Amino acid sequence: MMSEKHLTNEQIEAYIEQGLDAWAHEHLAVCARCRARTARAQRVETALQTLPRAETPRDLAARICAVIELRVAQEEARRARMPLIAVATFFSALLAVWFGLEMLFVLEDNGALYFASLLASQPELLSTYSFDAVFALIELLPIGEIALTLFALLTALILAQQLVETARPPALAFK
Amino acid sequence: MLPMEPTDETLLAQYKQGDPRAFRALVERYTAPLYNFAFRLLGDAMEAENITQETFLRVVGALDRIRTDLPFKPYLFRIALNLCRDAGRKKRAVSFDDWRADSPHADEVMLDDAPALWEQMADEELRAELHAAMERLPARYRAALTLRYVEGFSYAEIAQILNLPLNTVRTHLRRAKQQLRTMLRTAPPAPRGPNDE
Ligand SMILES: [Zn+2]
Repeated sequence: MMSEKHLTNEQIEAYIEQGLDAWAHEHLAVCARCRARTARAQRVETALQTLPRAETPRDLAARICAVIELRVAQEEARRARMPLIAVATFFSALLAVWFGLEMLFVLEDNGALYFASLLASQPELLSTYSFDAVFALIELLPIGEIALTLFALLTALILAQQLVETARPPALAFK
Repeated sequence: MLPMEPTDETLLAQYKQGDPRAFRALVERYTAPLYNFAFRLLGDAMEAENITQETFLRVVGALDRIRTDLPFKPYLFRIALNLCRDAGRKKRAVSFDDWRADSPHADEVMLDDAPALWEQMADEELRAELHAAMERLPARYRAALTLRYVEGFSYAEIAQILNLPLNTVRTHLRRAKQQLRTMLRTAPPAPRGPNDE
């Protein structure tokens, strides 16, 4: 050890970063040892500054652009589909209600509802009428209206499901 | 008029207004830096590619929220860093847990004046040795060094990206360099040298 205190590694880093520190400067002028250390630190500093980047796969940027443009296009298509699906859902639901009401009116008109409630309140009637009663009830059913109601209901459900899927927050973020 | 490269923020603003070429320009500008950053941190080429792509996808996904009056590059690297952290956590190979911790012997005032092997090396050779030594540094040091020396970020920007106080960034960088010098001095140009992490 020399009589005077040598520079610490920290001080050398600070010296290289910020330059002149009067005391460090004075010490470097007289101490060859610290001068050599500083020179080495400076060389590492310079080498770090010229450190090259890792070689990037050549077509990476193009591939990323393609992926992003595809996702953006999908996203735009999704947004464009939204209103259409919403309108379709609304009208199918409306149709389902319309056919449903129509079916109820028919059932009301032809006495099927009354007949069914009669059978429900007095089940013993069923045994007396037996098969005839069941057939009579089936004959009263408005098959067309029932089919239309079910069909409209199903369509409305499927469209609503699509609507929920489409309205989900953008799935742009993870794969 | 000089043909001036548009700034990142200009390109971003143009993209927000619906010009897809502006984003393509940003991707071309930052694919190599982001890839390099992720590769330095994780040492995995496939993962680095994924993270580079995911970083841009995140930007597109958050486009409405991104402010064009703030610097874009630190924001970009912040996203990439967080993705690297997640990936590192999954792999468990790269530990970011000690992100804030300091190694206990980092403050040792050891005089590094043993004859250094690398003093006779050519610059090219020295850079290769530095690369190898960097791989053995803790992830937080690698991140700080790459941001500072390869990407040329300011200390304040690095602090912002790493979410660390400015002084911690300064300390990280100094210690990283000290460790590098120690490794260069003690490690012969062999696959693996003593490692005092
Ligand atoms: Zn000295």
